[in-house]
Amino acid sequence: MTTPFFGLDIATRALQTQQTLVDVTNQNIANANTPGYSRQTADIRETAPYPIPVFSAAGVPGQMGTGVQVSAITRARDTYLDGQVRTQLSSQGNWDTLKTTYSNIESVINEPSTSGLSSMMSKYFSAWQDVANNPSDAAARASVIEQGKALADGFNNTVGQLQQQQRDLDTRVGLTVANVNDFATQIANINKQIGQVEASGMHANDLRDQRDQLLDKLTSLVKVTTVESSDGQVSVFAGGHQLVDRSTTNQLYVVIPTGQAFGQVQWSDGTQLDPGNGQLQGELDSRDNVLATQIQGLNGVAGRVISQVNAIHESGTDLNGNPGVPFFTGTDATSMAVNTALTGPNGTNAVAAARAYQDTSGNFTYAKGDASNAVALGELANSLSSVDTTQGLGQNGSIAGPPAMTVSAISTSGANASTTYAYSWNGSNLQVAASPGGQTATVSAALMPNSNGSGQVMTLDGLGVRLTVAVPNGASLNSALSAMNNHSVATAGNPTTISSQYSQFVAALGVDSNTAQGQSTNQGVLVNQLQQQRTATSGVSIDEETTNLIQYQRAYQAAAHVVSVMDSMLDTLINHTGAGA
Amino acid sequence: MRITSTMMMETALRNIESNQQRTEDLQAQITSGSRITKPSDDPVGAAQALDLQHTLDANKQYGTNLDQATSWLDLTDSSLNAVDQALQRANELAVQAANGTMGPTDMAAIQSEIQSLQQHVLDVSHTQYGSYFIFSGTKSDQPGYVQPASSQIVPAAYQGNKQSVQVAVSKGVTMAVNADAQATFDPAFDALSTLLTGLQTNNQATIQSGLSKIGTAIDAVSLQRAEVGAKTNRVQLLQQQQSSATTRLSGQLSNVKDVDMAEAITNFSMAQSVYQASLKAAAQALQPSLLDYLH
Repeated sequence: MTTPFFGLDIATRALQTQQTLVDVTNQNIANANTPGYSRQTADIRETAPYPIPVFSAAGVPGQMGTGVQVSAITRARDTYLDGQVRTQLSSQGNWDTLKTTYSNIESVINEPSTSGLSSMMSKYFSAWQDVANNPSDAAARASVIEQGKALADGFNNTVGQLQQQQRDLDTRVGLTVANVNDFATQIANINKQIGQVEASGMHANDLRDQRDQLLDKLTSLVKVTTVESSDGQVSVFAGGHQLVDRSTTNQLYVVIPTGQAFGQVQWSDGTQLDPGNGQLQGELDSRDNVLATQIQGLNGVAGRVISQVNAIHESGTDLNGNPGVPFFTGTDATSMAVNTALTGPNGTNAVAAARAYQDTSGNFTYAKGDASNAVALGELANSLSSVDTTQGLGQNGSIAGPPAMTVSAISTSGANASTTYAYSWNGSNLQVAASPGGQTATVSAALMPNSNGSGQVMTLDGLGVRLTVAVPNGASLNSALSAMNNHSVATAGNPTTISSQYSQFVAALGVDSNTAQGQSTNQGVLVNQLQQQRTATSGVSIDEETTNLIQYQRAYQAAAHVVSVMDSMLDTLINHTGAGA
Repeated sequence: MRITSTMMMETALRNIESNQQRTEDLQAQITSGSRITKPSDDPVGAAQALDLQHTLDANKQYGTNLDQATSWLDLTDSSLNAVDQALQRANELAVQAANGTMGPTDMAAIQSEIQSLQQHVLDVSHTQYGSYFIFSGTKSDQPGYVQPASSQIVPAAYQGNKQSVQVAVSKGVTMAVNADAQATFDPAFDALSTLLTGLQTNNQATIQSGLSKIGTAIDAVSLQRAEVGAKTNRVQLLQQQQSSATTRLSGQLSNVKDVDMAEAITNFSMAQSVYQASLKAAAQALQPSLLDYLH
C-alpha cells in the first residue's frame, strides 16, 4: 500500500521532467539559427514501478507506476548523411577553386575582344603589309616596330599576370595548409573534451555539433575520412596519413624543394600530401597544371611568332643594305621583346623590308623600294608552314667542311606541307630539289657583310625556301656554295596558322572553364540537396518547438494541478477529520 | 520530410539568387550586344569568332593593298598615256620632217618641239607615287632616267633595276604592280634622240630611222598599257571578291558572336517575371509561423 505522499512524489517528478522538456525546447528555439546546431530531444521514460514483485505482497493490487524521468538528452543527427555531405563538400572545394582560377584566366586572356592578343597579332602583321605598301616610309617602319612592341608587351603582360596568379595561389596554399592545421588542432581539443564528457555516460551533443562543423570545414579543404572510437573521439585521415589521432595532431608543412619555385605540402616525415580533393587540391592543381598549361600555350604561340618572324626578317635586307637582325629577342612570352637595334636610334632603318637580289651584271645588291621581305612577313599571319628544327640542318645547324658555316635562318613561303630541300653543287651552280614534290631549281645566292661586322651572310633562294647561312670572313661565294653540297634542310607544314593556333588555345581554355563552371554548379546543387536532407533531420522547426512547448506547458499545469489536489486531500485528512477537527 | 523555416529560407534564397543570375546574364548579353564575352560562354563560338575576326582583318588589309594597287596602276596608265601622246606627236613631226619639203625655220621649230617632247617623256619617267619613283623598279628613291647634263641628244640612261614591286592581293597571292620601265622608256628615248640627231645633222636617213624607231616605241608603250589594263581588270575582280568576302565574313562573325536581340529580350522578360514571382512567393511563404496564430 502506498502512502498519501506517494502521489506528491510522482507530481514532483512530473513537474521536473516537464520543466526539463521546456528547457530543451528553449535551447532548440534559442539555437534555431545557429549553424551546425542539431536539434536536441529529451528522452523521457517512466520511472521504475512499485513494488517489485514478491510473494505474499498482501494488499497490493499490482505494480503501480511511480512517474516519469528524463533518461538522456540526445541530438537528432544522421551520421550517414554527414559522410555523404563531406564527400561532396571536398569535391565542391576543388571545383569552386578551379572555377575561380579559370574565370581569372579568362579575364586575363580577355578574348574575344578588340584589345586581346589576337587583335594585337592582326595589327602587327597588318603593319608589315603597310610597310610593304610604303617600304621607304619611315612612319610605316616606325609603326611596325611599335606594333611589335605592343605585341611583345601584350605577351609579357598576359603571361606575367598568369605567373602572378601562380604566385598568389602559392600563397593561398600556405594559408589553406595553416587552416587545415588549425582545424585539426581544434578537432583534437574537442575530441579530448568529448572523451571526458562521454566517459561519464552523458551525450556531448553541443561539442559533437562543433566537431561536425569543423569536420565539414576541414573536408572542404582536403578530402578526409574519419573513424570514431568507442569513447566518442574521432581519428581523421588525409591522403592515407593520420591528421588527427584522438587529442593529438600530425601537422602539415609547406616546403619549397631546392630548385623549385613553389611549395610542396608535406607531412612531418617528409612524405608529400595527396589532398585527394578539396580546396587544397584545387589550388595545387590550378598552380601546377591549369596555369602552367595556359602559360605553356602562350609560350607556344609567342615562340612561334618569334622564330618565324625572325627567320624571315633575318633573311631580308634593311635600309642600309645590311642583313636583317632578329626582329624579336627572347624565346617565349615572358622574354619576348623587340630587338634594341630596332627600338634604338635610327631603328627604323633596321627594318628589313627588302631582299638582296642579283643585278644584271651579277652583283648582289638591294633596293630601298623593295618590299618583298615585308610582303612575306605580312603573309606570315596566313602561312601554315614553319621551320622544323628537328629535321635536317634545322635552325642554327652547322654545315661541315671548309669553310665552317652555320644556318642562321630558314623561311618559306607558300609551302604548306613538310618538305625537305636537298642541295647539290655541280661545280658551277647550286641545285635544290624538293621532296616530296620533286621540283628542282638552281639556287640564287647572295653574299653580304654580316650586320654585326663578323664575317658574311649568304642567302640562298630557291623553290620558295630561303636559307640564311653565316659564312666566315674571306670565304668566297663559290666556296660557300660548294660547301652546301649534299646538305639538306627541312621545313614543317603546321596544321594551323599562328592565329588559329591561338584561337585553338582560347577554345581549349573555354572548354576547360566551362567544365569547371558546370562541375562547380552541379556540386553546389548536390551539396545543397544533401544539406537539405541533413537539415530535415537536424534542423529546428519553430512550429514543432512551439507545439511541443504548448504540450509541455499543459503537462506542467496538469502536474501542478495534481499537487494542489493532493494538497486538498491532505488538508481534508489532517484538518477536517478525527477529534482534533 | 521535416521542413524547417531555415530550409525554406535557404531554398527561397538559392532560387532567388539563381533567377537573379539568369536575369543578370541576359542583361549583360543585351547591353553588350555580344553573345560571347568570355571563351567559356561558347568555346567553339569564341574560336570561330577569333578566326573570323582574323580573316576579316586580313581581308580588310588586302582591301587597302588593292586600293594601293589600283592607284599605282591608274598612275602608271596615265603616265604611259602621256608617253604615248608624246610619241604620237613626235611621229607626226617626224613624218613632216621626213618628206623633205620643210624649210630651215620649220625644221628648227620641229627640232625644238622634239626636244621639249623628249624633256616631257623624261619628266613622265620621274612620276612619283608618294615619294616612290614608279619607273625605277624597286630603286624607288631615285628617278629611273637622268639625262646627262652635257647633252640633249644622248639618250637618258636607266639607273633603276628590273625588280618588281609586289603587293599582296589575297591570301598567298602577290602581284607585281610596276610596269617594265626599260621596255617602255628605252625605245622612246632611243627613238627621240635618233630623230633629234637626224634633225640636227639634217640627215634624212637618220630621220627615217628615227621615224621607224618611234613606231617601235609606240608599240612598246601600247604593250605595256595593255599589261597595265589587264592588271587593273584583275585588281577590280579581286576588289569585288574582297568586298563580297568582307560582307560574308562580317555576316558570319555576327551570327557567331552577336546576340539575337528578339530572342534575348524575350528571354530577359521571361527571366524577369520568374525572378519577380520568386521574390513574391518567398515574401509570402517565409512570414507566417504558428506564433502568429497563438494568443
